Amino acid sequence: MPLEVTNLIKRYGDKLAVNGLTFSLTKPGVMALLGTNGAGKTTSIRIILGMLSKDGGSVLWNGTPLKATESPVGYLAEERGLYPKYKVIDQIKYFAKLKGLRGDKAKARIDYWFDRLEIAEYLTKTASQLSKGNQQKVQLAAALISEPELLILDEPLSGLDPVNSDLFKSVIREEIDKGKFIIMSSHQMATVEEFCEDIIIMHRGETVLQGNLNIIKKSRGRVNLSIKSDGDIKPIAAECGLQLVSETPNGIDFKIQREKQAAEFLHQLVDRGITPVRFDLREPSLHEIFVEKAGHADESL
Amino acid sequence: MLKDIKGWRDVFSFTAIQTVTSKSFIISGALLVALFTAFALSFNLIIPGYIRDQQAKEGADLKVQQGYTAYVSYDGTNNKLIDKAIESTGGTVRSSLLSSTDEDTRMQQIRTGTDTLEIVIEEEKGDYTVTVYRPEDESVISKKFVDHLNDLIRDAIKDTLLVDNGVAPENLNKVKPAVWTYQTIAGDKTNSEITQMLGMVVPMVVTLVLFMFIFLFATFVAQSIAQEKSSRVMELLLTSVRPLAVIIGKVLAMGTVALVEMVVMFAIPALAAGLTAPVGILGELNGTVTPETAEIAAIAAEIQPMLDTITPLNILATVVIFILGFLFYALLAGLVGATVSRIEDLQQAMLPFSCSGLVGMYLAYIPAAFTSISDGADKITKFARLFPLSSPFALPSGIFLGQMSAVNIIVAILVLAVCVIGMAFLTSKVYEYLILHTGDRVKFMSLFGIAKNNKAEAR
Repeated sequence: MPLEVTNLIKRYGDKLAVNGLTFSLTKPGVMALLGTNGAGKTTSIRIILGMLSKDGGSVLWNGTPLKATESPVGYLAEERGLYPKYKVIDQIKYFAKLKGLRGDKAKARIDYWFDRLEIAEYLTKTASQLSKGNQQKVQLAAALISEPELLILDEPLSGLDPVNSDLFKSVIREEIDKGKFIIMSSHQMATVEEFCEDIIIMHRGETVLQGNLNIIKKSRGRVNLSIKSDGDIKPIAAECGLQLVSETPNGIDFKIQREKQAAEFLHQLVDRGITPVRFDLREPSLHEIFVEKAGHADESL
Repeated sequence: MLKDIKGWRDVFSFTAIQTVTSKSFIISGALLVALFTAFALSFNLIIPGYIRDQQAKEGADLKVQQGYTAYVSYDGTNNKLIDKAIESTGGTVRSSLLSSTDEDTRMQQIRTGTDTLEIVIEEEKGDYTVTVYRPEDESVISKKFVDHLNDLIRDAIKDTLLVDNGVAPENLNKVKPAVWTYQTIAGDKTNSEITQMLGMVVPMVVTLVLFMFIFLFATFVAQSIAQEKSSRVMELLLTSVRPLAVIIGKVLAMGTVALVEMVVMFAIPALAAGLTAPVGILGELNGTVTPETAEIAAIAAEIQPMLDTITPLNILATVVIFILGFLFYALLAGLVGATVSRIEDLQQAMLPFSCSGLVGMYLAYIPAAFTSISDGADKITKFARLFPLSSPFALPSGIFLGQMSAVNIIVAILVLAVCVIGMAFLTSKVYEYLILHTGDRVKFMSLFGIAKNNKAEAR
């Protein structure tokens, strides 16, 4: 098993920052590590990378303790960091050298990634002369330059414009296709849904939800109903026992107890001469699951 | 342990190259080299040149009296040498026995007249009195010229007496050697003004230079680490190297840069002084001493014993002291830099470090400023040369002034080395904890508690 994290524990004084985090990556792909701010995601990542000591548990890579300095690991940190006054080329060469890449091999990799990320023209600039998005690209290049087998991306798309966001996504897809193991931490649920098969949701150090995203969604059933229509449907929904969740110019969202409720509601609408423009019965989104688990986790803990 | 410091060479080379190629380093380094070169040239070239210029100027002033007339009245002295001395300054001698009745008239004539002097030489019981009457207007005949003439006449009288008593004229210089006199307390070293000055200036300059390099570059280590922490570059570094490799690479890089800059700062001025030596004060050390260069030669001779202490062994000892001193301060600074998460907190965190450095510097500096070379065994100086905060600044001057025995030097170096080992031990225990610490600044005194509680944890 390439990556196996078992019962990870980290304490800061009396506070449990991470309590019993356990997961494994058995096949290439992306696993999402989700949670509200302060949930323990970054602490968990630092422990996995060996930057922080742990109070319990183990992190194994192919059966041996994982050490970022010795294992093929690439890391894009949540809080970006470059030397503001040094030239980008000097910095990326330095990061490559620290990963054991030198000479022509390092140059070839630098050229490839800077071309791929469309930042080759910034090599001779200082980091402070680059936009935030371009600095982020430099750091993604630094994370990928050693062609790591395990890639840890902490908020990879935050602060990127749609064009660069798409560029990052295409790079991530390429890495998945290359058979890389990726752990992604993000608050952008749509992105997570786009890439991740498995998720872990953490709250205050505890794992509150874990598993395959599709299975999790299916297990919750199709309990979300989105409707767009011309008439006033809210009184009819109330008669059918639907719970109003939100109302926007694009339609109304209801929560239902069972799928049969939705069918009855549609029947009522048609009987009363209202034809919905959109009638979408769907499973809960990751966003909704996240808010439910992380937003209200205190109540169940 | 070796795994923990793997990659330090890459940190070392990157830090060193980025430091020496920064504009601020190049400009400040060039300014320092220029300053020290100017100092060396002024010492070697300008000061002796100034002395020579002064001598030449004085000589020129004394020779402006071409064609003046000296009315000389002798009192039974063989006047040949005196006449010759006066004539050597361009004067024409009119010897005559002058009557006192005409004195007022003569004085009035000289006072208001042009280029005329009256010289009266009197003898009483073997003692001579020379009185020169000159015009009031110094632009006609200057006071300096008359002083010079008086000196020449005095020497001429002595020479005349020596010749009268059988000394051959060609041997006159041999029986009149230059003699300098000093007094000193028995058991102490010669305590001339020059050596006193050197005993004060050398420790002051050496202390300040060493303090500047050791303390300044140690501060750079703290700034660099704090900057990497606050900019989050550290997280990226730590995916490739262990924290110990980062601090070792940085400390050694800054130390090497400091040492090289210090060597350059001394080598270029030394080279400049060497190239100008033939016409400067150093050139007088092996040159022939003439009356014109006697003053410069005397200074050069005083400096020679100190130059003799610049031996390979003493230089090696100084380099070792510099390295140990730098390691001590840089490791301390590195720890302080790692206690903060934001660069704006660094200044406050550095306060105890800065105070420690200043205490060390003043301990080395103040005794040098207030005691002479014979007070080298002073208790404060002795303490400063052993105390690890001050010994990196105080030891080298003690070595180069020849004030320390080999045993004392070795003991002082050992004390410093033990402290460096202690600092390295503390660093190895707490640095990993500090480097990823975020939030409030870690108090320095709590580091000892962290070191005590820091168990070897499985990662």
